[in-house]
Amino acid sequence: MTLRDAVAQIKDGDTVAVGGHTLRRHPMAIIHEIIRQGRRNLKLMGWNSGIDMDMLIGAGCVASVETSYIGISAFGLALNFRRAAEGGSLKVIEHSETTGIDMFRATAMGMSFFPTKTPLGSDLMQANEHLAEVICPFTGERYAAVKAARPDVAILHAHTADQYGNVQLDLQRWHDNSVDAILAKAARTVLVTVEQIVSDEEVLRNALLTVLPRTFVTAVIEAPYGAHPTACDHRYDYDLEEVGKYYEASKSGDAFKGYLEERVLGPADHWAYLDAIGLERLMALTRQRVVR
Amino acid sequence: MSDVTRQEIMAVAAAREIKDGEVAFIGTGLPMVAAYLAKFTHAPSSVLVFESGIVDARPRELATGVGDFRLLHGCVKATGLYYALSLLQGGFIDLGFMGGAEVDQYGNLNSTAIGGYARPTVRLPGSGGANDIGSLAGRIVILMPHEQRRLVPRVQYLTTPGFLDGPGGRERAGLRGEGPTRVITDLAVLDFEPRSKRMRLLTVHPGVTPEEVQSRTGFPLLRAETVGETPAPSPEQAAILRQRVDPEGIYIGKKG
Repeated sequence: MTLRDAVAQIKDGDTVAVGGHTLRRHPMAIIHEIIRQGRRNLKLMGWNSGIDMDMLIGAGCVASVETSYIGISAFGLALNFRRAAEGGSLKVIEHSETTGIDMFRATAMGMSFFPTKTPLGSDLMQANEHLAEVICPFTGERYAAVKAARPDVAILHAHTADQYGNVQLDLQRWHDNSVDAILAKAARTVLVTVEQIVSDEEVLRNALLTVLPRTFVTAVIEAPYGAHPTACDHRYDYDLEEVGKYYEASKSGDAFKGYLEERVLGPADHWAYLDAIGLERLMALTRQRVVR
Repeated sequence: MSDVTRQEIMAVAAAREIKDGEVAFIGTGLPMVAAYLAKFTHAPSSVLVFESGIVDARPRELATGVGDFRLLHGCVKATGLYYALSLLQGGFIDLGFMGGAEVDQYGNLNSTAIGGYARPTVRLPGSGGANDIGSLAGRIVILMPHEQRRLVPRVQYLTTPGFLDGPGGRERAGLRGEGPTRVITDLAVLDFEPRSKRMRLLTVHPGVTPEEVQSRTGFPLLRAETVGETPAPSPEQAAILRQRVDPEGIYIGKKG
């Protein structure tokens, strides 16, 4: 399946759970294609978000966001997010990291809610219909119930998959798997880009590395550097030059339109995007990954 | 030492909060510097847990991003962020560090919005892991710049619980942990008076007066019976900070 065909499965108004966290392994190739196809009124869900959500907001694709955090790492605030929230055009549903994950975890475990302590007493509980207080029937203790989320689509980026959609992460970053797998189990449709499609034998030889067996996966698409400019650890580091360029452009709506034209709408597809970034830079990111 | 930076004093004060053998939940930035300093000096058997799920790390260099490979070096368990959050909820974390755009007299923190939530004048990133740490760690140490607009009577949005509305607030809400026990700023070290749970000035950094601290605080501070001076870094601590922990002065400031 092509990236274009996969993204065509996402409809205007869908709830979309976005994988990755902070500046790591966000499914940016999918996000670029969503912008190219002009999706509107998406309801984004995540648990620690950044350039992934900010770019979709700046491109006018988003009606609401539900997450614990949207920021651009060391650069500062996520400025498209900031403008939209301050202008009142974006609905924001607040979470702690724990409740942002628990909303998916509940669904993945077949439950209608999940109990947690984190948001009690805070304003996160206010005006959030997905959090409510409950009392433990055994101890009388107070908890917050996190309502189970059932996203229409989850979009993820991983290291490898076979042709059947068994998704793996490289051993060196396997520990990072936990939340993406939970997102996938909560969503109806799961689209995964990977750095590399590998043989069935390769998956069978390394079964311990499988984070998502094919039963949870709707489509896998090969998209090398598909997380760029975020890091796909063990393969390449984050591209701070590109994130800095993005951050500068996002300081005004007009400048950001220019960025989208140059980096997303101009290039016809993911390969044209990689051409625009350039081989030298991509190779440098691969060399500078810190592996010791 | 006249060339000591305020960040170095903050790092030393924060390091002192980590007792040997404790499990500390660490983010990037100054808390990471403080945690390394503690580990290299008085708390060699403290266990550093990074938000990204890297447990008992012994990194050789500072990390700049959450989950960087640098943190994996020499750690005893590499896991995910969800595991780290579960350690918090399970009550396995003795203390955590945090900051925010605003802190109030009861130690509540705001990292969500300034100027009314529905139509904020400044929309901030949101909780991230802050609420999780503040709600669940055994003790909280708050680090932030000391400015009147940041130390406010009441936070405009309560992202992260301190003592909420005062004594017994955490217990009534169903939260665990002691709550905030220290506030370390670039001017002073403060705690919370046990009965009222209101912020109290303990020590001022060298060259700072209690009056200056009060004038840069947006609410009346309680004062300890004797307000002393925050200890400057010892020669050993300064050497470790500058040569081993942060040789490029990224977080502790450049020296002339």
